[in-house]
Amino acid sequence: MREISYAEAIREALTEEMRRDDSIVFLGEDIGVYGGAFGVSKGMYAEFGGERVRNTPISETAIVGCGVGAAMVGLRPVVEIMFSDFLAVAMDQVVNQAAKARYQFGGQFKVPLVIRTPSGSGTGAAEQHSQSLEAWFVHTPGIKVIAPSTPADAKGLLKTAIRDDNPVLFLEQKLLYRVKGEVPDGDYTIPFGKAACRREGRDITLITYGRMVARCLEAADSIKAEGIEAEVLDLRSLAPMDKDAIVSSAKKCGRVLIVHEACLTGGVGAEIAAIVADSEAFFHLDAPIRRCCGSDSPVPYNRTLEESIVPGIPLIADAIRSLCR
Amino acid sequence: MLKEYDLVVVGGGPAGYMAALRGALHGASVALVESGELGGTCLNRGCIPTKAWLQTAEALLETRDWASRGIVLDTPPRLDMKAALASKDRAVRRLTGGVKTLLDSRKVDILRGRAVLTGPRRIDVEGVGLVTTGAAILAGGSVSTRLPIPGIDSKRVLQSEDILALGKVPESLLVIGGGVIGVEIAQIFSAFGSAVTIIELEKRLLPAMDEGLSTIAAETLARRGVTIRTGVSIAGIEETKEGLALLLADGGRIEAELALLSVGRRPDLSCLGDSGVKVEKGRVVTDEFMETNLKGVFAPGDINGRKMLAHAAFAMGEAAADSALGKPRRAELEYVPSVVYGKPELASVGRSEAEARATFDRVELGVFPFAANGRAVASGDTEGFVKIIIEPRHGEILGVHIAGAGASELINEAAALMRLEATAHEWADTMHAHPSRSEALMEAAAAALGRCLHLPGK
Amino acid sequence: MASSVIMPKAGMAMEEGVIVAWLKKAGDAVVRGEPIAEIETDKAVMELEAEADGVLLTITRGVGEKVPVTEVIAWIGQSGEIPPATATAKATAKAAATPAATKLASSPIPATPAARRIAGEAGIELASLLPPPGGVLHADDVRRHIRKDATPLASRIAEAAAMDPGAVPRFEGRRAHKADVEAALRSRTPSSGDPQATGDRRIPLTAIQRITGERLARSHAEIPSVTLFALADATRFLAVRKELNAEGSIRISVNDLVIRACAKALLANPRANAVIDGDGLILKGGIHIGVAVATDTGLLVPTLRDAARLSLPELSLRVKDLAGRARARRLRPEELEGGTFTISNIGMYGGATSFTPIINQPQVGILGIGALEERLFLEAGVPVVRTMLHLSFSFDHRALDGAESSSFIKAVKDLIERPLLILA
Repeated sequence: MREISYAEAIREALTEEMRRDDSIVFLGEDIGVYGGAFGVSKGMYAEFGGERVRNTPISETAIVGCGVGAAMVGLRPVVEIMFSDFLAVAMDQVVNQAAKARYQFGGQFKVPLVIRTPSGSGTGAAEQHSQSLEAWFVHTPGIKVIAPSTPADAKGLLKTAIRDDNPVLFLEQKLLYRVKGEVPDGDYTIPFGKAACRREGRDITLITYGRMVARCLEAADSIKAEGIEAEVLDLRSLAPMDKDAIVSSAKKCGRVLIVHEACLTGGVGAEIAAIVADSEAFFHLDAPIRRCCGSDSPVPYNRTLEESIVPGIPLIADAIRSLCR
Repeated sequence: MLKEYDLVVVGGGPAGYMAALRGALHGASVALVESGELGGTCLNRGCIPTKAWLQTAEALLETRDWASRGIVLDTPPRLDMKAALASKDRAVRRLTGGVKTLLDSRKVDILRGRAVLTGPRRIDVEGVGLVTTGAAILAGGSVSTRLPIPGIDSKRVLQSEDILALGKVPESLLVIGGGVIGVEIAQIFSAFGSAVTIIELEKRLLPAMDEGLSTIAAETLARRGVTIRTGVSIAGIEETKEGLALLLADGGRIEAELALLSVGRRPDLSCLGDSGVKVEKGRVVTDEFMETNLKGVFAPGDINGRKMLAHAAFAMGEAAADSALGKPRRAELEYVPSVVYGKPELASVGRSEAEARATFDRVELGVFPFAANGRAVASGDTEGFVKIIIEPRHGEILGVHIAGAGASELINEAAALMRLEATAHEWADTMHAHPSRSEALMEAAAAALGRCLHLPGK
Repeated sequence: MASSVIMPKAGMAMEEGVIVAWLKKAGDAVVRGEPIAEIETDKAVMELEAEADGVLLTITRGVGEKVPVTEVIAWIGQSGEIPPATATAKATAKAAATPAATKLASSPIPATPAARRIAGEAGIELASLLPPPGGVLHADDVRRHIRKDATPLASRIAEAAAMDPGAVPRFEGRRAHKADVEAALRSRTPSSGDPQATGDRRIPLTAIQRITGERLARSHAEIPSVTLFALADATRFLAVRKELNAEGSIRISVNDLVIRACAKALLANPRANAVIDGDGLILKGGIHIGVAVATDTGLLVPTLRDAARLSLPELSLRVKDLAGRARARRLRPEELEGGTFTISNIGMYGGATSFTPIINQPQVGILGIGALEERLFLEAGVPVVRTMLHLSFSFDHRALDGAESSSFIKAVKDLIERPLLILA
């Protein structure tokens, strides 16, 4: 066990995999000598050289499209889209090509592509560099969507993504890059579709992922004194999603609060709520299923406003109280 | 004169008159036969007269504390035994009259004379037959037990009924038997001025009660000059010039002017005649519905020896009436309080500490002394304590024992809560008026749970 | 969305109809056009057809009921669907009642799904609960209501045992007491009536009982067991025993003598002192007889080793020791193993005369000692009383045939009838 940062964990995963498998190539803007916009690929160019760690032009369509093509002819590319917001530019390549190719070609081709991308707000990068767009891709059959919240999860899940023969969208919350955590030694993977219970509880379950996991844990601790024991379920895998864990946690606690920074309407939270409502957990619900999510608003540039559109710990605690009364 | 009744009740004591009233309440035609006074032993020879005299005794004792409270008597009060007797008799007459009023109000026929069951549906009153088409309730009550020792027939050996009719305070009194009656009578006459000695066969006074109560009773009596001899058995009684002498089995001898025989009571089976009602060890055998082996014949109260207390007799009488009229009802005898009147009053309901420990693996106690109770301290009467025994898993109340003024009232709160299966948790959280002696119950319950704030922390 | 089945107006003058029969029951699948009931109108009996596909959810009016036309008599919907509150049906039935009452009854009671489930399990009508301030019934409101039906002590006991609220016994006119909850916990079935009535009491089996039970079941299932019965004249046997006991310091029991006889019989019939081994039979070198001892936690069978080599006094002492230690649970593990044959005595209990003992695997035989019985015989025309000992020998028919097994039990019988040979 070592303590390393989320960014270092991702780098380790990438590096170890690239050492293990020659067919893995890495493409992205400024990932070479520069070491990546968030420093994730520091040192990799020196180790693997320009053939395998390739700087690209500022052309998301080309980046993803190149990845799709390379994947279809036998390489295992990892592409980095510098801000998840710019997936919008590459939408056709992601949705119509990467997510459809295997289906369209009747299985004759597979697309073992990983799209890594920094996601979410909190860095003052304003509306075009701060969005959380996972809902778009959870809604797209044919692509997996992963959102780790800890360094250990990031490393294990990225390895699984790289080894998966299917397109995987790997969302890295920007503010988590610096967060340190214990990471197991050696080679390990974490399976997709398995949530992690970060805190066992009894009165209410907080279903969450990404940056909000830590906030949920803090809110749960703060409310403990009021006699409320909250469970915190970190989904970490959004497509596929651990429906069994969601349902059993909801059934056990009888109250559900879904927390994510992505905006409320049409967010992944709505999907989780629907899963709970149409399951055996329904008959154990003692309160409405509630979501505590980002405001339906572009992310403001002003730091105070930027902070205010995302659920803070007091807001989460209040939401817990409102359901537990 | 043959008359038909739905229900005939033999005996007008607590079991009998309650059965009669209950039967009449249900609309049955009821006759009650009584050879003596209505109200039975309780009203005429037992509970009521002793309580009346105990009140006088307690008042006398209290006057001894008055000086410390700032009330000065120039001449100390003295007892006028004749007046005391008259006041006791007034109380008794009032209550027996009250019973008659109740019975009359419900149109119960009261017949005077000795009754005997002569057949399953037939009762003879002084040779004249009555027929019941319904049921018979034999509430024959009980009499004092006589010790089969030589000299027991001496006129100087009194039963409780005789001693309560005394017109003069004896110089000295031997109380044979340290049970409830013995202790109460000892207190009365000690306060009235006799030199009292209690002789008890068992190792302690009040052997049937929780040991804590025996201890405080012995201490208080000793302080008032009563001599207590426990573990003593009597070989014989001799009359002397001044009175009598008790010959003890160990060779000892105690002399006094009079003796009271209070070793217990036994059922009075005289109303059974040859009817064939099953009797075992001198008690009529009944089921929990008070029915005997003869269908339609019921025997509530002291006559079945289950719980020889007036309040148990009330409950058994009612149950017998219901059962006799076709609505079988169990007599609930699980939570019968027992009281020793006097100063301090002693009261119990449920299991003693010894019994609780013998039955349950884990037992917790909560003891709250009246010395820590606001009302007790303010009124200057801090003698005694409340002891609550619980089973800690659920806080089940196993037994409650109270020593102190008002114990006979306080015990009823305990009996009610135990019957309703409230636990120590509910008890400790029930608000009690402050200041009141009852608060000691709430505090003792909290103490049993380890959370009494009116006692110093450990 | 559930659809209603109504009493049809089958004629202009028809005011009400009678339900003669239900052809389907609640839970049955129905197809549109399928007859689901028979209705008697003022003119004739007609079939009522389902107007929709689905499942017959509930039947709200029964056979023999007179129902005004257009009133709901059943609901059809999707499996698991809850039809609109039966209160609605009741409300329309009480059409004569105040309109305000009808309105109240037909509006659903706001309650969370958990509250509804708990109320349903406990058989409580939500309508019987007072709505709390705030208006929505929660699970705890229902639980509190259920708890009111139990004394505080009984509630605590139920809660401590994690008892389902629906399983707390409920009674007409009184609260559940400690005794009721404890009875329900012991019987472990949700009680809907007076638990005193069943009188059942569950006693857990001890470990020994469980393991013995499993072994007995296996033996019974696997072994083709046959039992032979014999009567041995034990008159002299008992006399010899009496003499032995008059003299000796050790009290020799009937059992001791039979064990010794059995050991000798096994020496002469080695096939009975064997163990099945696949497709072979291992004739055991030593004779180690298991003696069945009943203890208060179950049956134990300590082994008497080298039974044939022990003198009678030694045997008697050893058997007493083993039996005593078996009852005191002080046997060593090895003392419960290694037996080659077993003896079990039922005669000593009185009652039964003989029995069919179950073979103690992997052995092939077990000798059962039954009762001593006096019988009348004619000897040379003279009636005499002989005391007979019942014997039974259960054996594994794969290992012994009729002749071999008879030979063994005959050997035992002979020894009993010539008891001095037991002492030899």
